[in-house]
This record gives sequence, structure tokens and C-alpha cells, in this order.
Amino acid sequence: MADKMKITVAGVMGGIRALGPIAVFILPFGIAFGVAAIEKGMTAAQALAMSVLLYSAAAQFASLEYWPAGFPSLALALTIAAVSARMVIMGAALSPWSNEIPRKERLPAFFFLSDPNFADSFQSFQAGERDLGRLVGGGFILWIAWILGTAFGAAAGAQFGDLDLFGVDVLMAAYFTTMIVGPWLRESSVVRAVVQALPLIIAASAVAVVGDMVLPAGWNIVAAALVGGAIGGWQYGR
Amino acid sequence: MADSLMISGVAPGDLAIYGAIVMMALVIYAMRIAGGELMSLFSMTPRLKAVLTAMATAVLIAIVAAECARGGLRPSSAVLVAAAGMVITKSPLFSIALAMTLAGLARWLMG
Repeated sequence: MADKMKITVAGVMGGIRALGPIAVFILPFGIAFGVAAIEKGMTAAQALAMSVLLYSAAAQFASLEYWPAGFPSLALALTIAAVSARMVIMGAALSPWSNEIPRKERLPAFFFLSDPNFADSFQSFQAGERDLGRLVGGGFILWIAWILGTAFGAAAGAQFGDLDLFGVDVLMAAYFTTMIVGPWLRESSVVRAVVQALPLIIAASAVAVVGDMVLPAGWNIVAAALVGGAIGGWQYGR
Repeated sequence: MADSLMISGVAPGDLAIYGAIVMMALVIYAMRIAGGELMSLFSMTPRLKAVLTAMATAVLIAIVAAECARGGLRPSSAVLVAAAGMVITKSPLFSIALAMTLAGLARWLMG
């Protein structure tokens, strides 16, 4: 019988160690947001408050589109919800493990849920990790890097130059690619794993790309996740 | 009137802005916890677990695909390089660094 899920300091440290190298790459992302926020007319304190409380690159960049006339507005709230909707799927995907933990412990832990530590935690839990501290630690170190980056960006502004020259704009895509490919490499037959995943890859990609053109921001990811879930259910036991 | 609304040097306009930031933070936190709370209402079967696993992978695939479609050749090349790097080296960090380096180089060469 598997051990019960828990949250421990050792688990948090494990998450910090696992995501620490990725956090280094998050710094330039934070800098990019800080620069963009200042260029839009925000104060450094407002930009920092956003990074501390929201901790979501996609939502924060999206919110800048509403600055300053649409701050605050219902459209801003709905946009933030749409851009963040994939987090509902991520939370659901982690639930087989996280829901073993009492609500009063797991709810604060989910403040740190983000794309990179979701990918890391999901894979770790599948591989037998039983500590939700993994999610907290990974998210914490990314959060610190995000805040520091924002502070640097807001303070130094455009002096950083074109961050794309360092490939910062492809960081997330490259990171997620390694997260997608990684599990296939652990299968006994990589080719078979890829072939089995092809319907999911094709359908999720198509829905995401078409949805990006016709759906409100962020909903293409939700639509792709739902289609992906349907394919997963269809493939189960076949 | 405006002065009377000042609280610790924060002007009313600033209060609205910080209120909006708190509102956004609450929306995002609600999204973060919603998935797990919804799933606590259902029992977890092997098929449901397969569905959720596929959903999680689909989220990652969708983010990458949309980014490639929006960005064109540069991010698409970076994704291919990262995938190839993983297959050859099995090191995520090396693969990411390689993809970023090549994307940065491409940006520098293309201006």
C-alpha cells in the first residue's frame, strides 16, 4: 500500500532543488514583466504588488492590456479567469494526490500552483512522490524569482535591452516540450509511446491553434484540455 | 474631498488599482483551488485518472502549439531543438538551454 500524502519541509526543499535551475530562467521573465509594466505607466510598487499577489505571468501580461482605463472592470476579471482557466485542469489533475491531504493544509499550498511546478509535481507524483511539499517548494522558488525579476525590471526599466536576444521568449515552450517528451523516454518503447500519444498531440494542438484564433484569450487551452481528456478516456483500456 | 479620502498617502485612484490587483489575485487563487475542490465531489476511478492525465498533457501540448503558431519559425525551431535535445541527452536543463541559445542566436542574426 502506498504511503499517505503529506506536506513536509523535506518535500518543500525537494521542490526547491528540483525547480531552482528553472527559477534562474524565470528571472528574465520577471524582468520582462517589470519593464513592460513600467512602460505602460504602472509604478514599481504596483508592478511588485501584482507579482507578489497574482504570481501568474500570463494573467499579469494580459492585465496590462487593460491598463489604465479598464482597471478595475468585469472584463478584466473575466479575462484573468479565462487566462487562468487551465489552472482548474491542473488542480484537477493533481487531485488524486492532493485531495488525500486535509483541506486546511492543501488550500494554502495551491497558491503556489504554476505551470512549471505543476509539470514537475505531476510527474513526481506519478513516479511515487508522496509529498505535496514538492509543489509548494517548487512554486516558492519560482515565486521568489518572479518577484526579484519584476523588481529588477521595474527598477532598471529598458536598460536590459531586448531579452529575446537571450531566447527568453522560447523558455516556456522549450521547458514544456521537455516535460511532454520526458515521460515517453521512460517507456520501454519510445516509438510506441509516441504513436500512442499522436491522437492527443494532433487534437490538442489543432484545438489550441484554432481556438487561439476564435476563442477569448486562454479558453483555447481549456478546450484543448477537454478534448485531450476525452481522448484519454477513449484510449483507456484499449 | 480627495485629500479626505487619502489613507496613509495612498490616493483614491491608487486604492482602485490595488483593489483591482487584489480582485485579480482572488480570481486566480479561486482558479488554482477549483480543480481539486471539484474533484473532491467525485470518486477517482482508473478511467477518470486516465482522463485527467491526458488533460494535463494536453494543457502542456496546447500551450506549446499555440505559442509555435503565434511565433512562427523561431519558437517552433526551439521546440524541435528541445525535443531532440531531450531524446539525445535526456537532460531537460541542457535541452532548454540549447533551445534558448539557438533562439537567441536566430534573433541576433535576423535582427
